[in-house]
Amino acid sequence: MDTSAKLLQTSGEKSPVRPRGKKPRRFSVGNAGFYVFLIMASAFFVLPFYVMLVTSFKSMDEVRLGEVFSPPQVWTIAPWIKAWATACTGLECDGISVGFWNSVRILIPSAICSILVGAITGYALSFWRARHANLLFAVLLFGAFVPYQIFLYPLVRAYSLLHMNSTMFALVFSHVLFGLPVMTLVFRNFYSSLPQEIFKAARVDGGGFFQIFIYLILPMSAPMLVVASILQVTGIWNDYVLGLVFGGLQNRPMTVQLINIVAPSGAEIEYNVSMAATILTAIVPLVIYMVSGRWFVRGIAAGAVKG
Amino acid sequence: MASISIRDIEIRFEAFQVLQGLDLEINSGEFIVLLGPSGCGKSTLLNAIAGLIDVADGEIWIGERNVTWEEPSDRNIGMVFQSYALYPRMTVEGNLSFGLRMAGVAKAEIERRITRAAQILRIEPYLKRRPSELSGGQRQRVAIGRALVRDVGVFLFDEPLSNLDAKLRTELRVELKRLHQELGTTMVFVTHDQIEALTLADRIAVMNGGIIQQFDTPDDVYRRPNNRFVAEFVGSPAMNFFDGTVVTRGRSIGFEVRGGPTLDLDGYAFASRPTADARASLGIRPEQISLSKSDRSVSMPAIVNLVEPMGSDKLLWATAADTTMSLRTAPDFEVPLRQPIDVFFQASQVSLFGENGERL
Repeated sequence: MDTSAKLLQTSGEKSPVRPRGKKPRRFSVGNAGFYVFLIMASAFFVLPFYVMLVTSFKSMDEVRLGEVFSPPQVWTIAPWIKAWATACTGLECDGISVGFWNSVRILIPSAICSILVGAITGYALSFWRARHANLLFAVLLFGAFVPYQIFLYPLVRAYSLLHMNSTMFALVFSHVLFGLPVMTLVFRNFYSSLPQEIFKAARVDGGGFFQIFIYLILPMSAPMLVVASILQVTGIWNDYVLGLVFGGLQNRPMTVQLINIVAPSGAEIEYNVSMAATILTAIVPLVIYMVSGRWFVRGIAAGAVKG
Repeated sequence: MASISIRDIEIRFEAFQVLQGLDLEINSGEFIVLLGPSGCGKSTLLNAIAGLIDVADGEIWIGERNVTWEEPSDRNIGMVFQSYALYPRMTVEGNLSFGLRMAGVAKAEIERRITRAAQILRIEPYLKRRPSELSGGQRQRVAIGRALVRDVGVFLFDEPLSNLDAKLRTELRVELKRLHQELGTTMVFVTHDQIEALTLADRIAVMNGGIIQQFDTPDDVYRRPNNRFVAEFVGSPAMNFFDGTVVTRGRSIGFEVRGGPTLDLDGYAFASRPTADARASLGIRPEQISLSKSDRSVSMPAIVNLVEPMGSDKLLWATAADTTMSLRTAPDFEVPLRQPIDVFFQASQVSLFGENGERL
């Protein structure tokens, strides 16, 4: 501690000056209302998850009792195993694991490609000042706000004309396409906050379009890459419509498989298996949010404030 | 070392015309300063030479080559920026070698050039550091080094000293001049700081409104400004101006200060014989006015209102013919305050401007 801080502290202790007015009370009606609101808000999110969790560990006999809030009398992981490996989705009975691996296979190329393409487009728009760059950007922005259901039918027609309907490529391509506006927006705004002179210096030094991008811009993009990864990974993992429409039967992602498991199919609904399957599906985005929440906020802020 | 020739170039930003029909000839090995207020087009001109801005019309030649449509890296230039523009994720060594690596220069040669540049700029101890671990002066030295290692014929500087504090700025200014003497490279330096311009330049191009107002040696720019803009922009404190009319009496020409005496202007080198009774303004620099009479000096009554001791000299603020003016005296000179006195100057040293602002 330096001397000035010491001085401040000691003079504060001996100071005859006392704060005027009433001491703020620890407890007040307003405070209580605030806490009641917070508790209710968290209960709104936590209770359903709690019910799912306890139900998934109950046997069907216990589920039938209808005591949704009580913890299981006998814990069993059989519903989880069934959900993962043997639950029936339509005709096949291989569980949701098929969908899990499909989702992983969709996620990895889609996320990497859409982030990379978005970063390159954002870089081109903010540094290379292409002719009509602003117009291009406006069109892209507009694309971000158009409901993508509008494009579904034209795309299906286009893919079937090119004989690529119901292929992995069509699905990944669609993800990249629909991710492009937001990814471009995120990266363009971040790159616009970087000093132009660094880019000019690199051009004088003889860097080409991709050399400057790879050696200079990409290493400076770490905070935005984290933000973009979170946005894209959760977005692509949670996607249902694109997977359903473009994936075809053999590429159905986990979300589509999940619906087939939980949807009523005439026989008794196995709530415990449905709950386990749902939690399994939700676990990837959940973990990502928990692990990277801090980086996410940091990355968002990094674009706004000049470092 | 290379000469630069700018021929009738035109630059537009969308509908807005920044430069039009601009010509500039820079000799090989010269140190040229582009001086002007912000928005005068000096940085635009520099960026055009570097190839970072496209020209709408005209040609740019560097050395014996027309580089108007060449890439910045193919123009035989190196550039130093106001914000240093170092690559933040690379070490000093990485910053220096980036351009050479892009050009595919051999490793041993890169090493040799970095060692030499680091020696010249005295940055050898920092080669392994990141830019964020350097002070402002060191960063700018690295930025200069980045141009140095590329062995180019022309150095371009875009206000490189503006981000530094006053002491460092003076230091680096001297170092730049030494560097120019050592290397003999052609240098083009953009600034709005007249001290930098006067101290560094072989020739100064004073710019305003996208037009080169005067392209001359610092001495000529300072003592024989082409027009009122140059006269007002260069010099601190600014040149004093008196409004009045040109009068002719037989063969001799005089200047009648409005609300003041008529001054004899024998000894002033007129560009052409002025028309009688033309309105004009007379400019005198503060240090050209004296409180003691000397041979062939012209006198004018004045009253000193205020004294500012500057250490090395004294700055007096006086009124003459209802106009405020400043003048410099020796620091030990005792000045009678608020009393009518006479001030003196040589007609050969003043500047006379016509109504259109051009030098008479």
